Amino acid sequence: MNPFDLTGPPFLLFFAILSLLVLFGMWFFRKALEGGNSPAFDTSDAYLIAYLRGGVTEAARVATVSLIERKLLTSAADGKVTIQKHTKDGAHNFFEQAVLSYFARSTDAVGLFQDPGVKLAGDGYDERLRQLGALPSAGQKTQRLILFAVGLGFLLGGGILKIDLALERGHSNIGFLILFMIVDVVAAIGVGFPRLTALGSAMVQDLQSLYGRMKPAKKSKSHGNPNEAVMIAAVFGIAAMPPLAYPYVYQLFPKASASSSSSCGSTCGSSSSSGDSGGGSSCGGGCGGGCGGCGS
Amino acid sequence: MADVEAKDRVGIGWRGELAAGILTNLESIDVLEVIADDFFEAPAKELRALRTLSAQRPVLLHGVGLGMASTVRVETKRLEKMARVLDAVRPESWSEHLAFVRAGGIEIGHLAQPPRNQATVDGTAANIEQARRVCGMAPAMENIATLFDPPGSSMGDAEWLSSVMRESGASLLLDLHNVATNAVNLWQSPWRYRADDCLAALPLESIRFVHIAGGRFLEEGRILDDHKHPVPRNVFEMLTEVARRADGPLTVVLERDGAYPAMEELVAELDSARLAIEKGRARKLLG
Repeated sequence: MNPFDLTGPPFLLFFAILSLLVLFGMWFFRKALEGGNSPAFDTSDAYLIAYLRGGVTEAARVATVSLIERKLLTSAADGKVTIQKHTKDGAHNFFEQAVLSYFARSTDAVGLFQDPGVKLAGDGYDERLRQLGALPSAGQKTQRLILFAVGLGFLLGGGILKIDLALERGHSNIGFLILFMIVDVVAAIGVGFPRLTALGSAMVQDLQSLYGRMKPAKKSKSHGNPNEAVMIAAVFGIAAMPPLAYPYVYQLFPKASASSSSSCGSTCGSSSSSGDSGGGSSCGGGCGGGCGGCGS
Repeated sequence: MADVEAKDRVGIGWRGELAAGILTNLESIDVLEVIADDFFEAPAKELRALRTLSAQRPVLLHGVGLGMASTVRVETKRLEKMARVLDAVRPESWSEHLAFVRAGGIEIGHLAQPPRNQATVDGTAANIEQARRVCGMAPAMENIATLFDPPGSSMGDAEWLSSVMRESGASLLLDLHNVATNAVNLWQSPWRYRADDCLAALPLESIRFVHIAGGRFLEEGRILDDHKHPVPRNVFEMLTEVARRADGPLTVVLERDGAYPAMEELVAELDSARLAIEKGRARKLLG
């Protein structure tokens, strides 16, 4: 049976299934082309990780939090940020220098994201992540375009063919099909052109999995160590910072802190550490499957 | 599996609680040791995260629950789980404890020393061979601490360890704090020993893997090897002796399982371990 002879809801059902298959195919091939094993990268650079997860905006947010924690910036109750000390020694790298330069001119945290100096500093991370394969290279962008064109060819081609047939047979109820085709185009753009490559997305998930057990409770500072809090903000987003311990974060960036940027990648459960329960020794405190006993 | 680099290395046991500290101090860490049992039931994405970790630093896998030191056969399904993790992470080596953890379907919830006799030597060697068959490579076997002398023992610690290594062909992962702990805890045993004598009786020339850790004294004068305290000085001194005698490169792992201090303190312990190894190597050169 020719599915293009179907009419009404049965054809729409067929078209929906076709759309899902094509979108899945686009996702699958893009993932296969852009995947691979994670490379070695600087896991100590919170801004690189934040940039990987959310671009220059996220890197700027995390840098602002880090500079406030190190008392180079001060956050007031009205949400204004003022610079305390602007020396070359204070900033750890070029990105922090750009953020400090911005706050030397302005107290508006939100305007930070539009600052050309900060954007320019972010380009350094952009380039580094592109070299690591986390952001699409020129070649991968071309591959994406080809996949998009092929996928769209199937989707729009099928839709146009059906519209042509319907009009030829005197049917005019093509509104839902056109709506489906518009949704398909939007979905194909989403599937075909994400910001990160498949490898980049995997790197973010892997970091979130590795940091899973560190994601702090919603009320206390992480181990009392501001560096750890900054790394957690870099990996999970500033929404992961406990609001009671870091209330200024929620004043400065209400939008970002209100949305949970990501889910904890780890499903770690109970620790396998046995502590000092009796005899010999204790085992590593990982997650998941328990150890029969502890020792080492 | 990757070749071991021909240089001494000092690393730390991967613990989720230390993730930020470890990943921001990798320049001070040569190698990471991951508890394999934590990933026996892990989904593919968590195993993938381990591979990402191993891209940053070499990862060693460490088992805690196979129960190799026993006359009871190690369960194949547990070994298959270990093999799955090994296959996913492809570490350069893996290790397990010379521990008794279950029998007759009963888990004792603890790593216990088995009776040190010929029967457990034979049973352990058979289990190591079984692990080699299922996992593709034999584990390095770690000596464990005990609070009391296992009943039915007919050998001392060093003799039993040497016998197991000789009969199985496996290499020894030498936990120095466990040696020091047993030297204290077995003081009333007919098999009591001084830590130095135990080291002297072991084939340290072939040692490649070492654990260091800290514990605490209990009220009755025994030591609990809880890995929650700084590495004591005598353990670093023992490490110097091991480095003096070892012919090949050493991989030393600091174990910490709770009461986590600031990462700076753990990095300082890693530096102390490096210093202890350097001292031993210098003494070896001087003869």
